[in-house]
Amino acid sequence: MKKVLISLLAIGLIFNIFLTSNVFAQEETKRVIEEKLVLKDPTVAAEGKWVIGGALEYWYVKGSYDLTDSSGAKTATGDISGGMPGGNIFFGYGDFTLNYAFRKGSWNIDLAYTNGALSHIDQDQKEHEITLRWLMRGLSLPHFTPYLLAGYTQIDLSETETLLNGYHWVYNNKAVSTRTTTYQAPLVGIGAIVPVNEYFGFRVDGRVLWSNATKEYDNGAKFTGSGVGGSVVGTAYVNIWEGLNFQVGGKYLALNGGDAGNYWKGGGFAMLGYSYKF
Amino acid sequence: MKDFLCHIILSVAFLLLLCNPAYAAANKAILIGISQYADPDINCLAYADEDVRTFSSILTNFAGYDSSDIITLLNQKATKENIRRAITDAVNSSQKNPIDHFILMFAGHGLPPNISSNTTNSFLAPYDAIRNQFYRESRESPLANNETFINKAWLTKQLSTIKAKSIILILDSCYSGARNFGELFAENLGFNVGFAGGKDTDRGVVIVQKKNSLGPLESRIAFIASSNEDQPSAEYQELKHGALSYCIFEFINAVRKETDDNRREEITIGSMYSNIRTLFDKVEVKGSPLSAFHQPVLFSIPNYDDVSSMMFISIQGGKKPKVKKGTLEIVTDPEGAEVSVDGVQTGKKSNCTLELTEGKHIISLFIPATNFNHNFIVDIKEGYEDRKKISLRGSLEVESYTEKMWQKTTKLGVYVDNKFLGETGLVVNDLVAGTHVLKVSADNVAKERHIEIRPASPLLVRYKIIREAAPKTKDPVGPVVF
Repeated sequence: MKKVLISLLAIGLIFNIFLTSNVFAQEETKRVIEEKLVLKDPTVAAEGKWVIGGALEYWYVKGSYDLTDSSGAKTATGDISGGMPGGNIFFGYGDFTLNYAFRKGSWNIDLAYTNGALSHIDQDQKEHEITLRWLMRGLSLPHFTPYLLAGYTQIDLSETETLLNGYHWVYNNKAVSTRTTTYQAPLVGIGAIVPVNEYFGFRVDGRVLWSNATKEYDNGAKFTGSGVGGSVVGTAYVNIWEGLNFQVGGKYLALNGGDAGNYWKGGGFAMLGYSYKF
Repeated sequence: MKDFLCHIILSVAFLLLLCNPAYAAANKAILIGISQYADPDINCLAYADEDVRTFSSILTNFAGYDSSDIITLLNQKATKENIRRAITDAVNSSQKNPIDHFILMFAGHGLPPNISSNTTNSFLAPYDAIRNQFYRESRESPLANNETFINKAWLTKQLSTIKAKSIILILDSCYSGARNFGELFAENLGFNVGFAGGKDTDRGVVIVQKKNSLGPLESRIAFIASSNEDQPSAEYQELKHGALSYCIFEFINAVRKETDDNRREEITIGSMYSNIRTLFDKVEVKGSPLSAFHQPVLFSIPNYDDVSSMMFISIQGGKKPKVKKGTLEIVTDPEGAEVSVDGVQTGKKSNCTLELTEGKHIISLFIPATNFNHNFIVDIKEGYEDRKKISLRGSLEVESYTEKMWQKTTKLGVYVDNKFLGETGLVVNDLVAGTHVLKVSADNVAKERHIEIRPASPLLVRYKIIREAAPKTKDPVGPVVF
């Protein structure tokens, strides 16, 4: 057996069974070169950047405040003053930015009804607003970039109205009426940013709000209604330094709550914000 | 009877084993030549691949090398991985079957040793080298394959462990005589680098001194470089070769002419290097001696005396005692290639007929317009009348593609040497071999690169189209917040 193996080994050696072949033996083959060619295409969306930021804001309202009935006839004249501090945070990618704002404040309203009654209203307001903005850069002009908005806002009002000159409320036979109202409103809007230069510009938008409102009185009576309202916001902004910005503007908001009553306020606001792009 | 048969078989096997050239030959050569690099930022070289091909032919036709002894890696085959594998395989196999004579030749781009680290210094550019990754180093693993270049530390480590009686390293590339490469090489073997000789007899010879504590060295090593560490080396149209390759071929041709064809002449490292140096002083390019541009370098380990007597190659003579002649008709497409025989210009252009003495000759065909040099060896017999039909044209194919399925592949205009040939997807089969400028363009964007056309190796250039957003001169919105 051993001799047979030796013989096989010998035969193997004779026929080079154990020789290694040259793995690198080569023939001329097709050479392939890979190249890249970058074409700049205006139809291709620019790669977006993330942006994150926030702002502190204050909405100040002072001025006349009149009430009308459903026929449009004036039922009371008066004035309003107050402020609502708040803040917002936002983050975005490319042309989309998602913003959440929270505001909470109170208003003082003095009214003189046409029937002779005088009243004072302490109104507390709490507001949540979430908005998605799409900058339509494809339609940009050098000093004009339009955008679309969609979002949702909820306003909670808690107010106490005191009749001051001997009048009392019919429903509770008291001088004081306490009620809460909640407006819940999806919204869409359209606007534009109008940059004057690298640091300074304007922003203006109009929004349509479909609101559902519920008003509840201190005696348990509840009224609901809905309607279409709107708002207009105009802002001037200044980019101060490295993402720090200051904005000041005017805002008018009107919500139609149908049988639950309307809401409207107009005033000025200021914001100090910071944004970081990465 | 059975025992007798067994002994007969074993004896025959043993005899055949001794006669088997694969075992008898203890030569090994790894020859690397790169003219066309994948990275468009790395310039083409006109002669590197042809020089290596020619040296391979010389080894097999005149120097007793069997073709199985030689690994030739040209252009696309000369990737970093293939080069590393060829060298490590040679090192590993030499541990079992020691090599008598090992040659490593590299003709291609080299890079300057100007990195602070002396352990990860890149050195040679393989086909797939990426120029902008040249300086990338890794502290964690300095010998790792962390670059696209051949690492000098890795190379010296491999060559220091190969079991070979004589090791010859020929580097025909820029900055090839890198002193710290030689130092590292010498130090791996237990030597200190002394000084570089400056006198005429030892000019360019780097002296090394053995450390006392080490035993005798089994190998003799000659490292011949075409330039000093701070000098680029070049290829010259006047020479039709890289500088070092030209000098080596010239000397081999000269020795063959002086040696009878029934004899072999041993060319030593000393004589080869001495003649390389002489040729560097004598041969003029651009109106000045070659040595005015760069000078050759010889690192010899363990010492110059031992290495100078070491065999470079043993060459078969080409001189005939009695002149017998044959004729060779050379027909090329295109015609008009300058014809040289054994390194000497004949003054003839193809198509032409040559009267040649009996024996093997190196025929060179050179097309000046495209800087293409093609060499082949013919074996002339008395009364020989042969006709060699040689195509000096090659094929070029240009494609464009996109990886985004929803994007339409853009057709690129294809220009070769500023002549419009058509759109991508075209195949041109009759480009004259040599160096050309390929340009593609689309949407007011153009890109150029040099390409090397070779008759036996079609070239496909594939352009990946990347569409990016057009740059906006100014963000109209600016950094405004919500």
